[in-house]
Amino acid sequence: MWKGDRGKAMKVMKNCALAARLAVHYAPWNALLYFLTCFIPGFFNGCKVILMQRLVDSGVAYAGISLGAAGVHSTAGVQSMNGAHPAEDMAITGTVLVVMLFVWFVLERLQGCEEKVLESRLTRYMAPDIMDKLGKLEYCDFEAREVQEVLQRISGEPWQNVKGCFVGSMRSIYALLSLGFMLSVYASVSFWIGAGIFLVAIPMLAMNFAGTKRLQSIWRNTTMQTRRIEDLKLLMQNKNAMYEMKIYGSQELIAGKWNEASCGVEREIRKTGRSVMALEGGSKLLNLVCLVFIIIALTFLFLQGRVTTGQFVAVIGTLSTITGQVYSATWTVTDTFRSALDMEFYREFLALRERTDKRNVKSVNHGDITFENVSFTYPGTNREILKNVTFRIRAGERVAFVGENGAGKSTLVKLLCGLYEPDAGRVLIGGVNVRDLSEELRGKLLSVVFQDFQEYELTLRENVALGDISALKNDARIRQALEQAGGTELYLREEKGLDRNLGHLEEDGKDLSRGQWQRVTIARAFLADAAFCVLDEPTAALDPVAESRMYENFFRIFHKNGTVMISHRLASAKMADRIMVLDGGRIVQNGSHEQLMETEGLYRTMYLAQSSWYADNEEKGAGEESADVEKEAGEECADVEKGAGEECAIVEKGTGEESAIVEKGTGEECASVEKGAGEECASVEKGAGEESADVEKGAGVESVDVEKGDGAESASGRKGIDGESGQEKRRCMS
Amino acid sequence: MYVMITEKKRGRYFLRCIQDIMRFMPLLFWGKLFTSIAEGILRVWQPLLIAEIFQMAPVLNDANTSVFECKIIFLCVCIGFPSVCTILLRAVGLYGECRKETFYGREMYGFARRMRLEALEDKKVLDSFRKADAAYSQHLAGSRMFSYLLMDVEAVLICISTFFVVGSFSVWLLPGAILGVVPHLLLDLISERRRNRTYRGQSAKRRRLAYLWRLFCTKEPVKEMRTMGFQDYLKEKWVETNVDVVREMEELELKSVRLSALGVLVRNCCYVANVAVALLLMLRGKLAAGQFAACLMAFGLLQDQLFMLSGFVTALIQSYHHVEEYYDFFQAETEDADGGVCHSMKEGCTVKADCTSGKDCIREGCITGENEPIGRGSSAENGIRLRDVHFRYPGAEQDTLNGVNLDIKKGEHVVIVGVNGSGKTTLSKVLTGAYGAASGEILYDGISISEIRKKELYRRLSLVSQDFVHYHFSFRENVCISDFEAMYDEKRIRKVTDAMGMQELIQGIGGLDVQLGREFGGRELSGGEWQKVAIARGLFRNSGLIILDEPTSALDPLMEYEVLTGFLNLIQDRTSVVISHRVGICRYADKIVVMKEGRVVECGTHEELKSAGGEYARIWGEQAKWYK
Repeated sequence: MWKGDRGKAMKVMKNCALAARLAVHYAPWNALLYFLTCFIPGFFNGCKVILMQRLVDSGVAYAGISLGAAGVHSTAGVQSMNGAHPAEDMAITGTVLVVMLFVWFVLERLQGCEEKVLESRLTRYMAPDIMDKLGKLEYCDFEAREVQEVLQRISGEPWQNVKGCFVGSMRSIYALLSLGFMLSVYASVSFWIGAGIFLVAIPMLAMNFAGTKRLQSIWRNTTMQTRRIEDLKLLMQNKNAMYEMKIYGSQELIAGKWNEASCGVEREIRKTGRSVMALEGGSKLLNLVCLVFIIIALTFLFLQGRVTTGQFVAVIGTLSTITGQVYSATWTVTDTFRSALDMEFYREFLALRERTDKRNVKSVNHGDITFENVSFTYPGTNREILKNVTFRIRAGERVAFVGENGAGKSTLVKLLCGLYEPDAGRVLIGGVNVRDLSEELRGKLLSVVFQDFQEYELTLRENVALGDISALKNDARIRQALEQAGGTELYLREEKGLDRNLGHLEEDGKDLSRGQWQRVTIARAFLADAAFCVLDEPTAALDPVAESRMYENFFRIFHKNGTVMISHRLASAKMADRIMVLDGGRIVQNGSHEQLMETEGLYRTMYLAQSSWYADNEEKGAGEESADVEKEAGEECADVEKGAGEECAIVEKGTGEESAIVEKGTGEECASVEKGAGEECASVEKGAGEESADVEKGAGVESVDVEKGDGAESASGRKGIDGESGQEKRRCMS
Repeated sequence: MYVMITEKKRGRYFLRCIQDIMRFMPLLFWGKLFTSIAEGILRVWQPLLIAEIFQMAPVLNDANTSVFECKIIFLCVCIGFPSVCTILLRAVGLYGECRKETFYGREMYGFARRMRLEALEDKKVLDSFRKADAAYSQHLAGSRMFSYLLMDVEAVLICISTFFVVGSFSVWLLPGAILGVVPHLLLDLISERRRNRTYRGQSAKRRRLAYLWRLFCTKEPVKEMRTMGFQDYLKEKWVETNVDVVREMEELELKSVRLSALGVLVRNCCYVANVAVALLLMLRGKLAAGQFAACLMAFGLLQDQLFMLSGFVTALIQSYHHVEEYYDFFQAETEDADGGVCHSMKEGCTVKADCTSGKDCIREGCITGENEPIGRGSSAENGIRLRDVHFRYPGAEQDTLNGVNLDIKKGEHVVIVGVNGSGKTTLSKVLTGAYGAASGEILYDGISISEIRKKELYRRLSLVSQDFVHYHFSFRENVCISDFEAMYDEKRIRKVTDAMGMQELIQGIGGLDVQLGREFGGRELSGGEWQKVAIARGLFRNSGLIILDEPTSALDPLMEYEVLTGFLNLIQDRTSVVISHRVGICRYADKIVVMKEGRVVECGTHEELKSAGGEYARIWGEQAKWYK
């Protein structure tokens, strides 16, 4: 236990030192001034005692002289004057006292003011540094659970903590200094009084510390309950939850849980509160005993003539001050302890590792996206999300990734954006590791619409321009982008046009529906006009009409740019040049819609399942048929899901044979690996793995050739083909 | 519809707050009140007694020793009494902390549960909700105000009694004493007020700063920031906004330090003048030496109290703001647990009288529970009928529902389709009675919805809403919360989870009683899994009518198919209303309702509407063409 306390004390010292260093670094003059406003008044309480004593003594002496009354103690008083004339002495002491009080109060005010100024300075200079540091963190740390708490604290106002710690430690200096000096003044009056107060002060301090510690243990012991209460409160502030609860009548259940938690907290506080009160009451009693002792001792000494009138008055007059000092010292020191421990998160934050990517490549030769044997597991988990994924997307190609929930599609996007470093393999754009691309270049190559896209509470203009900040003042471009995204109504009917505020931050701000936000986000992507636009399920919140409009628009406008899209709605995948099907972290199918529909496989199953909803009723028979087919397909798919390795392999083989050579390569690879696993022979598997690597490499080269053969050599030629096929497709659809 | 008292009368909640405190901690209330007043009067005795002791000490003899001792004891009491006060103050603080949730929280959230649902759509109400919560849980509104109030009372009493004592010594000392206190206090209050005004003026900017700052620390925005590279822009924006705030703050502080230096100057001059006057009086023999000492101490006391007073008064004002915020919340409109709206309960008695009969009627009617025979009555009376229903959100400029007419027969499966913002979800909320329609009538089995007890009505409904809730409870509770009395009916749970194909999931997470949600150390589910849980929740309830709002948006195609077929199998014998963007499900519906701009524009079966070539045909065509 002592060890723990010592560790804590070390932490406190370190954090206080850190806070002081930061304060001096960011606002040297204010920190110094603040220190002085704490340090100088530390002597004032003691000085006040001395001055008051002299004032009264000289007054008494003067009164004794002028009134001519034979005061009993006048001799003692006169002796202490060192021979100076009492009136003169009184005047000087009085002046000094008044000046001191004036300085004291001014310093106190200054302290309050400096605290605020220090805070604003810290905010001003520290925040950009923290932002820079945040910018340097690895993205995976933002998702890591251990770092969550640190980040959450940082997202509050970390400079407040630094200020609190600094201010607290300065105030502790003041409190301890003041107490120490006062005690020594008392001791100079009478050793016994000083010693008495000192002796009583120690158990008082100890008891107060114990009380505070116990109080803090309350918050520790009730974290679970308080969190539960907070959670339930959020539920009750949520209109959707309220709706559900009203309909379900589950409010009683919620209220029950709430009561349970809050009563638990109450019980805990009552229990601990009692002992805290007992401790504090005890220390007060001790305080009282001490006071009575001092008064009696002082009176006794006074009557004996060993204490002057001035001393007597000064000590008794400041008794309440010194007990107050003892208390405030306890409070300040414990408070400082707490705020210093509270600052621990900032030290942890500073110690977080910084990202290793270089981000210095300014240009690339071509814009192909390549995944080379990429495997990925989220840090801190043990499920491999992507398993040895290899593919290549040519510049300008439209590719769709489809797959079930949890197949690894969104992870793939994150890797493509360079947010994560793959565990194995490489992610390249134009032959350069994505993580080495400079930020501007990456912005030119990729623009991304994430599934959980953010709603920025800025103006509409800013929201769109986030895609390309240089276009912030370019109304025409922003309007065009919004128009392309089908969001003209967002600014046309509005009073402030593009400069309208979105969200609730401003008084005149209005919130948009999720569908409207989606348009804004897509407009952002249009504005960015990057070589590749990555769409991670962008249409989930749109209604069907808006969805198909958006896709039509999207491909019309993005006919030159490449697209990587992820969608649950396979209809939209159909528009892509190539579809890759992800299952369990692997690419199991690869080809155009027509190719994939010709083969039995996951894609066909999924497509039939979805399109069955739209089978026409005029051909009801066909509809039923398709439902049958779909049922079969469903069963089949379930089998596949169950993971019968062989079946899967066969399916894969089938795909491989019927589609391009590339597929064959991957199909065989898959099959061999699966077979290896089936035979439970590690060496064979290894061999197969190596083999497959070779095969795959071959396939890779081949695929490049094939692409070239397709006419990819000349960009214009390819584009022409793409355009034609796209038009054809569109014609087919309509 | 929603009435908020906008004109603020200061102090209107003061009495209410004090009454609540008396209910909240009666013993402590009276005890603390008493000690505060006693302390306010006793404190001034301290210098007086010291002066008297000082006077008596030189002329001590047998006759007055006992008086002297009494005075010493009294002095000890005077010095010791503040300890009792502080202990009691601590008790008030601790007790306030201890019971805040069980008293203030219970009251507030009890009220919140009775609140009308559309009130939560109002930005102002939500705002006041959050403020009220912070007011009591962080700022301990009532009990803290009480503490500051008593501290102020104490300080004021001390000042007044000191004035009396000093005045009793000599009238000449009085002006200095009063002038030393009052102007300084006023100046302090002025600068505090200025500070408050500046803060309030900055609140928008501060909110923006906090908002921008949070973006930098939250993973989703960081993800976009890094891929699109706009962090520098946001950083610049933050810095710019902050510069303004900081400049204003520093100016303000400079001003206030000047102002308070003035105050300190005035006060100190008065102090010096008073000491001089006292000295003069003593020299003239009008003041005994002991009284002079008492005066000095009294002046010191005044200075101390002044210092505290200026702090406590501003603290009192601030804590009173929180009290206002807390009680303001109770202005929102509530929904009576028994039916109609609380605020319009003037004719409540008659409504209540009708309720019993209404309840009985409904049991016979269309939305009865599972044990009722299906399709018993096909008369127009049996079913839900909406006639010219209008609805407008609080604070909105136009009606969201613009005269809806709709009939839903018992056992019918209805699908509502329409583009974004056509009022589908709102219609469902009006249908369930959660939103009160502004005009028009909603009849359940021929009985107006306003005459049915809300509880009775709700009991017959079930719901899967678009933004369903992730309860951070156990898996079992998440499913069974819709009918929590049947929490341990394993058979029913099994039936529902089977239909949703969730057995594997349940085994995967380790049973029904596993805690969900990371917040409490439980398992986290994926979006699709949560959606399944939500649908299971809706199905678990044995209700006659089930409403599904966008049930499959987070599911992949295979899962969607699986879930919807499971769902359709389970609800064959119930009335259902499904809202969907994906018109595919319409083929399975008995009736399709097409909404457009807050109206029902088409109504019929899939074939009818498709051949009619209207809005439905358009939507269907748009979506189906991708699958051809």
